[in-house]
Amino acid sequence: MKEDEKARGSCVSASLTKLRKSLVGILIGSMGLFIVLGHVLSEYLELGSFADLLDHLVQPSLLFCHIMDFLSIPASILIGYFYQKQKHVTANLEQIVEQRTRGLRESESRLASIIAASPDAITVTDLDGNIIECNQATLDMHGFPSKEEVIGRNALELIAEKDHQRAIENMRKTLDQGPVRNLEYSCLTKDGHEFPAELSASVVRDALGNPAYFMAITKNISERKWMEADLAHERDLLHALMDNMPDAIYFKDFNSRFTRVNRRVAEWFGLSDPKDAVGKTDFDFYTQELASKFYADEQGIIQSGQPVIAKEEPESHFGAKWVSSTKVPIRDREGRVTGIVGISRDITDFKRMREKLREYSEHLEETVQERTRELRETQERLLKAERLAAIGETAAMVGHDLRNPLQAMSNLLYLGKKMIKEIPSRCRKIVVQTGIEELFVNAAKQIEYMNKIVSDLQDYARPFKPEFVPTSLQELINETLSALAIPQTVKVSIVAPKDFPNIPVDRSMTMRLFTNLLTNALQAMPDGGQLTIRLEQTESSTIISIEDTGIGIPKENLDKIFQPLFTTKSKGAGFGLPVCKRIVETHNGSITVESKVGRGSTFTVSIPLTREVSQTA
Amino acid sequence: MDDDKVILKSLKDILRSKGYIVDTAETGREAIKKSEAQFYNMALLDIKLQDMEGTELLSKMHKETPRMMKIMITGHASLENAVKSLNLGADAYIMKPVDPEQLLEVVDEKLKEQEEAERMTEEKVTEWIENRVRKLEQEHYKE
Repeated sequence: MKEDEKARGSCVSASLTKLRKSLVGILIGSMGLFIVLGHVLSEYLELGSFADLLDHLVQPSLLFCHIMDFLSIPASILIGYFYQKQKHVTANLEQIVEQRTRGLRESESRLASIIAASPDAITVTDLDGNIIECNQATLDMHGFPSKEEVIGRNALELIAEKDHQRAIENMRKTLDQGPVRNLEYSCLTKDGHEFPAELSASVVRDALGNPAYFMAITKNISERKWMEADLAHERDLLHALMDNMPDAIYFKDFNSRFTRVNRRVAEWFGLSDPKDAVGKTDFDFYTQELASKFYADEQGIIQSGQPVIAKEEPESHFGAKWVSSTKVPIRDREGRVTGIVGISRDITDFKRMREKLREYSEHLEETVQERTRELRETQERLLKAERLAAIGETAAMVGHDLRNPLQAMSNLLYLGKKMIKEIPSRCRKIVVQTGIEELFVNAAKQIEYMNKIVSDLQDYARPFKPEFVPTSLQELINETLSALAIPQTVKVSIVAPKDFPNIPVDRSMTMRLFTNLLTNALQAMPDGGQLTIRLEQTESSTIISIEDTGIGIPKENLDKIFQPLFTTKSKGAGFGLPVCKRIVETHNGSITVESKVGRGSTFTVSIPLTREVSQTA
Repeated sequence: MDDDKVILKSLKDILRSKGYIVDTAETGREAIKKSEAQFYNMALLDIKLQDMEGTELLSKMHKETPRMMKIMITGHASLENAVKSLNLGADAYIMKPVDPEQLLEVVDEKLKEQEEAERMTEEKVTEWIENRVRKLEQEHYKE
């Protein structure tokens, strides 16, 4: 609107001016004419006639004046004309200038709008850095409410102090070398807050090419910085994942070429840098066979979009190394599969252990059964032992209680025998005929037997208190033999190394041991035979063996003979061997028997050299 | 001495048949009382009694009547017991069950010993008296 008015106004004034200028010309022209006419008139009036006027006019002395007078008319017309023309030209010029100025002003205002509207901050400073002009974006970025507060300040006031040095250098650079682009500065707001900004600056030159101003375009890159930080963080996470995981992690494109791998993969492939794997495929590192399998899997994933999870497969040619691989498709924004990412874990050890575990559990049942069997056997043995112990105790008690009645019986029988003896001889024959004497004799024998049983029982049940004294076994054996009645039909031989050492044993117990064993041996050979006693020393124990050539022991009795109250003899109480066993065990040793019916038996006693004394057995 | 009546009676009869004069006691206290009241040549003592330990009885008797022979009859042999008894003054030790024959032998033997001892003592005393008399006579003659 304003411009139109202005335009119209200028048109009108232009026209008026033109008119004015023409009028002035006409006036001046007219004035000249009037001057001449006036002059002529006055001459005419002076002369009275027109002829005189002409003569007057032509008179040479007055000719010049008259010519001049005459010339003044065209002169003033001409002058008027040219003046008018000039005025016209000026008016045109003015119009042109007017037009040009208008155009310029238009372009200036357009430029100003552009600058004002720019989203980036545009700041113009003089060569010292003082701000001459800036746009709204500058105000907004630095937090100033109006231009007045900015213009006049030095640009350095808007830059953090730490960057001042750099800014100054860059200004110099811009001057010397040319525009600088995308420099990062830490800029300040009005409140003094710092924010990151990117700045490009250049020099504005005047018409002569001399630097006049600096122009800078600044962008607030805070957001970009945050995004960069986020990105860096994501990168760090990925880095951490890739390089710190013990598993092999790899990215492949849709041709199964590696695009990125972690260090573990490089290790597996024998590469020094993970980057060396990029662009290669499995076919470069594995045998044809293995690589084909991997390739097939991956292509399958890419085609179907279905991942392969925790697949166990061999990774080396002879199956010496196994891995568990999980491969999943990578999709782009449109959901198309562009490649895969895989993680493979070395499970060789795990697999081995799993195998072992499987083996072990398979055998576990067997083992359990065996153990149960063993346990049951032990239980049985324990029960047996307990039962025997209970029986033993009871028997001992019974035996103890039997003592007195047996004693009484003994005494009474003795008296009875005596009474019979004192019967007067004439009645004696009758008495003897009844057989009463024999009866008493037999009864007495039975009582003796009973006493023996009770004694043996007492013996067996009694707690042992052994006294270990180094003893010559040969001596003991000889003593024992001398106490026994050895029939002529039995040949006795003792086989022992010359310097057989003295063994720490309980003397009376060992004597009893020998007595029992030798008695048994003799009893086994009622018709005679060979009795061999052997003494031996090994590294760890002393071995005494007593061998006879008697009737032998049937196989089914072999494990019973050491049990109390077991006897095959009519006159035995069944304690001989159990007592031997107890004695041997008190010495921490063991007693075993070998026998063949009809051939003979060998009893072997083994006593360890270093013994832990069992005080009670 | 024994706490079993039947044994007591039968043993008494056995010893009597041999001509010994026998008294019996069923408890330790009774035994002590009887031995104090009258002189006995020998006592057969059971080591396990109702009212006191045989060894206790033994030591008591030995104090009161040291000259009486004491034979211990015991159910279980142990060297310890034997030594203890002998130290306390027992003169013999027999294992149960007692064979009557064996017992009679031991009794006989021990009584003979006693007699010997008595005789020895008697002889000694006589000798001593004779010596004294001789000495006295000598002294008298000197004067």
